[in-house]
Amino acid sequence: MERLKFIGKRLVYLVIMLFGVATLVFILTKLVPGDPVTANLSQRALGDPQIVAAYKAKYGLDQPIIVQYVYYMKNLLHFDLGTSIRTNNAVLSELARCYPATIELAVFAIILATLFGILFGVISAIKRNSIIDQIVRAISVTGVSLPSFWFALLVLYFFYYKLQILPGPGRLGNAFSAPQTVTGFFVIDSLLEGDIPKALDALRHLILPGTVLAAFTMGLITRTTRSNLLDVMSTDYIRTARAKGLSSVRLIIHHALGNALIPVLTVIGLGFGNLLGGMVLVETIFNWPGVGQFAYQSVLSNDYPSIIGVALLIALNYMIINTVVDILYGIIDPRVRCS
Amino acid sequence: MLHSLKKMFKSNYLFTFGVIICLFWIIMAIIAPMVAPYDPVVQDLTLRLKAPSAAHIFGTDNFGRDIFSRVIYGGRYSLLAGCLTVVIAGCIGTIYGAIAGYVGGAVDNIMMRLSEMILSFPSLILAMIINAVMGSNLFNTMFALVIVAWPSYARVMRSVVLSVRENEYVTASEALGASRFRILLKEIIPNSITSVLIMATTDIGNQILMFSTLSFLGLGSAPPTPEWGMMVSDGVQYFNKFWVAGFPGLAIFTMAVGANFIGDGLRDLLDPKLRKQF
Repeated sequence: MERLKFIGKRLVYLVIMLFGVATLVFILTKLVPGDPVTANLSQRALGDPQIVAAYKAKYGLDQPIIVQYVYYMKNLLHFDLGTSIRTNNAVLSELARCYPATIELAVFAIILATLFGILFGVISAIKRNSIIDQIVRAISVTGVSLPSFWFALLVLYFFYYKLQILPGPGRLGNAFSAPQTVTGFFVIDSLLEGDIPKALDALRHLILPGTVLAAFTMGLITRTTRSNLLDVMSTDYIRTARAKGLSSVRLIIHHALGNALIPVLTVIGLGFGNLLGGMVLVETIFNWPGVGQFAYQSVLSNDYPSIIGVALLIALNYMIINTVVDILYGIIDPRVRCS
Repeated sequence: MLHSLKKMFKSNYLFTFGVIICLFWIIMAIIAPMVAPYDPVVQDLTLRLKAPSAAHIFGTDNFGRDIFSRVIYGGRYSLLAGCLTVVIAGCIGTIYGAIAGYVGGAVDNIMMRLSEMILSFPSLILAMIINAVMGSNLFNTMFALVIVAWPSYARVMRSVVLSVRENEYVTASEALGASRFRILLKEIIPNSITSVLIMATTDIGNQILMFSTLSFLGLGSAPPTPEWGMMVSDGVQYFNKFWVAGFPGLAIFTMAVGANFIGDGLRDLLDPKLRKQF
């Protein structure tokens, strides 16, 4: 019961935050200096007052700002994000087209970041202040300091252009056609088609952009794992376990790591949200047809309905991930639920 | 404090290394006109895309400009943007967080939800939108960075203030009849500022990265300003001429690494929890 109450509270909070974010986006759009009528209508249509009036009436632009806000919220509740100025398609369908590519890349990157981040963090904490620790810390600081656009160019230059061991931009090689969309994840869809070489090619295309995206989050996970493990290792129950004569490896894996990884969960959650933001650069450089590339092209062409759509989608993702992390946190760590 | 700092210079090599790198870039930025062999914006199309040589140690870009000179001058913009953003965002966040934490109740709730709304946007996309709305120049880019950065400071400050306000010296001040404003300014903020300072040092590297990212995306200062991020983006078209994007990128990287090493070291020094021995 207590657990359900906790989850319910988090969900109500999520709805309130979503409402707030949508309002914030509305305010941002009202600060835009350009006039949506001039941006959307052609020169000829602009000369005809009837068309302009009809357009304004259609989108409620002739109404006071409060009424416009109500219209905006009503449209959002109907999942109507308007039409992209650049492509003339519904923003929602554009986002639906781009979204799976982004999520496929993000999931791959977060798996990489989590595996290596925790591994490095544990090694670093066990060998505290040794030369290994210093090297791991240097790697993790490097991860958070690498400008991802530069790192992307570097890996492309070495692994694709010079050594030619990994494929470059795009989701699939020229020899393959895109698989039938089921999940939108090329690796899974290719497997569903039973086409193993295509699935492997899609996987190989994930490696370079995935590594670039993972670098920053991996650095954060390494640092958090290390400092939390160090904290846990100085607690009384670990001293007791050590006094019982447990080996260091057993001590860490069976007793310390479980508690040390709780805060790491938050970092992974936040990292996943940040990955979605970092997509703009990586997708642009790797010509990955996802939400980030769509956002970049929309910003360059002042396509405000699309920019708003991307902002809302990513904020929604971010908040859902945070809520899931909060709920998981409550389930794993009873202290959180009680407080 | 000074003693521990000295000790750290001796024992924490990464910190010392960070200080050396950052000092190097700061000095370079100050004495740029003396060190740079060429004018960073003068073009010479006869020297287009020349590989590194004795005359141009970092080579030249697609307009025949000397990349070494441009990298040296570029430090000015990145350092200025990184430091100013942190200072301004830090100040706004500190005051905002202190008020929210000290006043508490409904005010705290509303203020914090507002900052969380900004935090729930991915920072890069929010900065891109603000920059696109306001137009791209150095000032607007920094403005966008500040808008995105301050809520994190506010959150940290608030959480510290929540515990500091329970201290006896705050109660004593209240009993003596000090105004809320005075207590906030004289008792609360000075006693809570350490965490914000730790965060600020680690954040300078982040802000330098964010700034160069925005200028890489064409949302920073206008050409021909020698800005590191913009220089890397120039190099994207000349993929096989590694020096065009390579050296400015290396500059951003070393600057960010330096700032992060210093931030890490200072956090170890100022945060007593991390000083515990394993």
